[in-house]
Amino acid sequence: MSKMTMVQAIARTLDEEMARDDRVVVVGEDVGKRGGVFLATEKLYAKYGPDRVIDSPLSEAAVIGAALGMAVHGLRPVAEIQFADYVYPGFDQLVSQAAKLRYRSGGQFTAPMVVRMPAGGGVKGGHHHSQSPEAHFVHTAGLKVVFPSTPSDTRGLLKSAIRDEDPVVFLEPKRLYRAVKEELSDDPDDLIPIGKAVVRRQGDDVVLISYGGSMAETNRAADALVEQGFSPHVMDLRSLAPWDETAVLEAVARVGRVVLVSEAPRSASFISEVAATIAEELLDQLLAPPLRVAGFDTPYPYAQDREYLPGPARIMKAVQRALDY
Amino acid sequence: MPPAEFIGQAMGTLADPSRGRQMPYHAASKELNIFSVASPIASHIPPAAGAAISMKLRGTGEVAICTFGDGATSEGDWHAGVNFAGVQGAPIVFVCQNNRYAISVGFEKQTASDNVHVKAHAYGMPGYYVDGMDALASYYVMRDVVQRARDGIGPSLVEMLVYRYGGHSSADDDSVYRPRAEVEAWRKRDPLGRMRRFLERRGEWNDAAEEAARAEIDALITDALQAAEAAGPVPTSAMFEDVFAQVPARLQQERADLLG
Repeated sequence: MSKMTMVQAIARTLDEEMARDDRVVVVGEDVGKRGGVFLATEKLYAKYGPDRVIDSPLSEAAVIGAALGMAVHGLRPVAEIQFADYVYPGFDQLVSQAAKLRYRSGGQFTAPMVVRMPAGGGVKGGHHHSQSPEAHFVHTAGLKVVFPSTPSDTRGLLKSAIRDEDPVVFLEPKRLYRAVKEELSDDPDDLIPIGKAVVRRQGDDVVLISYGGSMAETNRAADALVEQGFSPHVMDLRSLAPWDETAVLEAVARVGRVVLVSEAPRSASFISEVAATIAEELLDQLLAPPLRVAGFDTPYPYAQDREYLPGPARIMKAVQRALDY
Repeated sequence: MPPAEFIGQAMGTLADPSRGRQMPYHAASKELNIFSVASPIASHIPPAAGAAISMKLRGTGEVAICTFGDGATSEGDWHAGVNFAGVQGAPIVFVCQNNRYAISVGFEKQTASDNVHVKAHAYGMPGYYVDGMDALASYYVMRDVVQRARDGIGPSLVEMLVYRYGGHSSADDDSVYRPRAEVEAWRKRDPLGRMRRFLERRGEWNDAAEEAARAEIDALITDALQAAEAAGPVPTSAMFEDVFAQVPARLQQERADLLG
C-alpha cells in the first residue's frame, strides 16, 4: 500500500498498464523527458523509451489524430492534451474521426484510445487554463466520458479506460491533482467500471450530485450541512457518458430533493441533462424542483477565479431553497 | 473492393461492409486495409500518420498510402499530420490528386505556391510531381516511394496532376466556374485512351480486346448492382449498433422507444 496524490496515481497507473500490455503507448506534448507539464507521465520515458513515450509536435490535431491511427493499427494509445482548453484544435479528430469510426465503418474499424486532459478552474489560469468542456463530449455519440475526483477512482477508471474497446475522454480535475493523498490498492487489476456512480455520504434530506473538481466544494458543503443538523446524500458520478441513471434515479426517488453541482457553465451543461432526466422520470415524487449550481455563462475569468467556482455558500443556498420549497 | 460491396456502399444496403452508415464514396474494407474516410476534408491525414508511426514502432514492414485532393492541403490537419509523419520518419506516402479545383475554387486561390509537391520540403521529405494522367509514370514513381518507405528511409509526398471532367457532385454545375474548352483539352490527355494507344502500338491491344473487355465490365457491374440490391436494406434497429462495442442502456431504451 502507498499513499499518492491524483497526479502520482496517474503516472503509476500508466506505468502499471504499460508494463502489463506492450501495446499501451503514451503520446502528447512534453510527455517524454519532461514527464508532462503536471508530471502525469513522470519517469515513463526513462523506463519505456521514445518508442512508447512519444513527444509529439505542438499540435493537438496531430496528438489525437495520430493516436487514433495508432489505435486502428493495433496499439493502445493514451494521448495527453496539456490542458482541456487546448483540445479544440484536435476537436475534429475526436468528434469526426474517433467518435464515429466504429459506427461509420459498420464495426470494421475501432478506436480503443484514451485522451487524457486536465480540466477545471481554481488554479488562477484564466479562461484558457480553466475550462470544463465535458458537455461537448457527452453530446457526441461514440465517446465515453469520465471525470473522477479522487486518486483511487482515477486509477481504477484510467485502467478501465485503457482496456476499453472504444475512445474514452478522460478529464482530470487539475485543482485536485495534489489536493489529497490516498491509499492505492496494490492489485494491478483493481478496475472501476465506467458508468458507475459512487455514494460519498449516505443521507435522507437532499441528494447532492456532482463529479470532478466540484466534488471538493460539494463535500465541503455537505460537511457544513451535517454540522447544521441536516442529512445530505452525496453522489459522485465519476462517469458522464454513460452516466449512472439507475443509481441517481433511485436516490432521488427516495429523498425527493436534489441539487446538482458543476463548475461548467450552466447553459446546456451536463448537469442539465441529469436534471432533465430526473424531471422526466420522477416529477410526481419530487418535493422540490431539481436545482443546478453551475459555473456562470461567462468565459472563465482570471481575477475572479475563486468567485466563479460554485462554492459551499452557493451550494448551501440551493439546498436551503430545495428544503424550503 | 468487390464491385458489389462498393455499389452496396453507395446504395446503403447490407452488401456494404460498413452497414449503410455513410453517403456514397465513403467505402471502407477492413479486409483490404481500406480505412474508413470521414467527410471533413484532411481529417484522415493525422490518423494516417499515426497508423504509419505504429507500423514503424511495431516493425511490421507495412506502408501507409494516404490520398487527398489539392483543397485538403489548406486544412490545418493536413500540415499537422504530414509534419508528424516527417518528424517520425514514418513509412507513409502522401498522394495529392491535384485536379486544380476544390469544388469550384481554383488552385490559384488555394495556395500561393506554384504546386503542392514543394510543400514536402517544409516537412523534411521529398516531393514528386507526376502526370497523374499517365498510368505508367504514376506507377513507377509510386513503386519507388513505396519502396523508400518500406526500406525505412521515410515518407514522401507525390503530387499527381489530374483532372475532373464532371461536376464535384450531381448538385454541382461546373460550367459556371470553368470553360468547356479547358475540360475538352484535358479529355485529350485521358489516361485510358493513352494506355490504349500505348498497348496498341505494342500489339497488346486491339478493337476486339476492347470490345470484350467492355462487355466483361458491363456484365460485372450489372451483376454487382443486382447483388448490391438483392442484399436488402439495413434494418432500422442497426441504427443503434456500432456506436460502442456494446449497446449501452440508454441506446437500448431509445431503440425500444422507436421500435416498440
